[in-house]
Amino acid sequence: MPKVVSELFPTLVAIATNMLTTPPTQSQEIPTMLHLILKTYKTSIVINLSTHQQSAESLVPWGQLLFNVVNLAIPKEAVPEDEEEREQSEWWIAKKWAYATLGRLFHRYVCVLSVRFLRCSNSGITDSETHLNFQLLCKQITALLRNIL
Amino acid sequence: MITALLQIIASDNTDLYVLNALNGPFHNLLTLRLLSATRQACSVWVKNRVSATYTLDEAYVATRSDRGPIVQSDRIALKANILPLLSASPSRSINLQLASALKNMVAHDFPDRWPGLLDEIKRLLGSGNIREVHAGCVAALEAVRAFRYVCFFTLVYNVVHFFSGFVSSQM
Repeated sequence: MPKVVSELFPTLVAIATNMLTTPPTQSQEIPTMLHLILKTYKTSIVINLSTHQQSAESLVPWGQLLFNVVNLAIPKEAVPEDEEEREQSEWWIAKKWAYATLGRLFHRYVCVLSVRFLRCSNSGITDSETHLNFQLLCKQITALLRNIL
Repeated sequence: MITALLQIIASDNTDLYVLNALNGPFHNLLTLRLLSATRQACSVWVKNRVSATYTLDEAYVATRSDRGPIVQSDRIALKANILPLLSASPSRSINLQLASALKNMVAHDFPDRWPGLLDEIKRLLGSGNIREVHAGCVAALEAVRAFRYVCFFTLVYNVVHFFSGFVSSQM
């Protein structure tokens, strides 16, 4: 797994970030791929964060991507009129996976910082740089939650 | 057997479309629909065959012919064709079956018996063709899904191994 993550994830995050630069349309190809990429990231953090994912080179672009997807304003024309159909739209599914991934990062890895750094090490987080990255991510997620609530 | 089925899954609809054009539009549509159903049935069969028997050693003797180990030539054909099929198949239902088969193959073969997998996925992701990029995303997801619990199982194994050694040293 660590080899798969370190070899493929930089390309995946670059593709996803690039896709977000084009404005949302009715075409389902881009949100479908975005959905797959976010699903890949979330699947990879089920048990542990690999060393590569703890580094700033991974955590920062992925964090930015997740926040960008959450904050993405989807125009009315890009999704169905009916609310139930809209729920099945790939754009909203991609947003759902971004929220779920941030939730997983927060509860599984960031939240433990508030308890004890030692507990954090048990989750596979080992160095102080990662600790600082997570503190930053924690602040961003808390600010996001404040905006939503 | 698997090699033949992969050829059916890969078969291009347009060949039959041209061949049957003289038989009228309704016959044509029916043929296309039947071909699509056949390809889907083949992909389901391949997926089930891989999930049930891909891990079996070639020396294993099965009681049923369709439950025996997959021969080496079929394994090579699977590894060579599954990613191109994922990028070429227009049907989501066929892609789902192929993706499931890919996950089981990766779990068994990567990295020792399939060293070129990551390079092939990276080539798909870097392609200018959107269908190939999509296939690369599917393959990356399946590669991660194949190992998502591996760290956990390794940890459990190490803990059990440690305690069994500790108990035996105390006895």
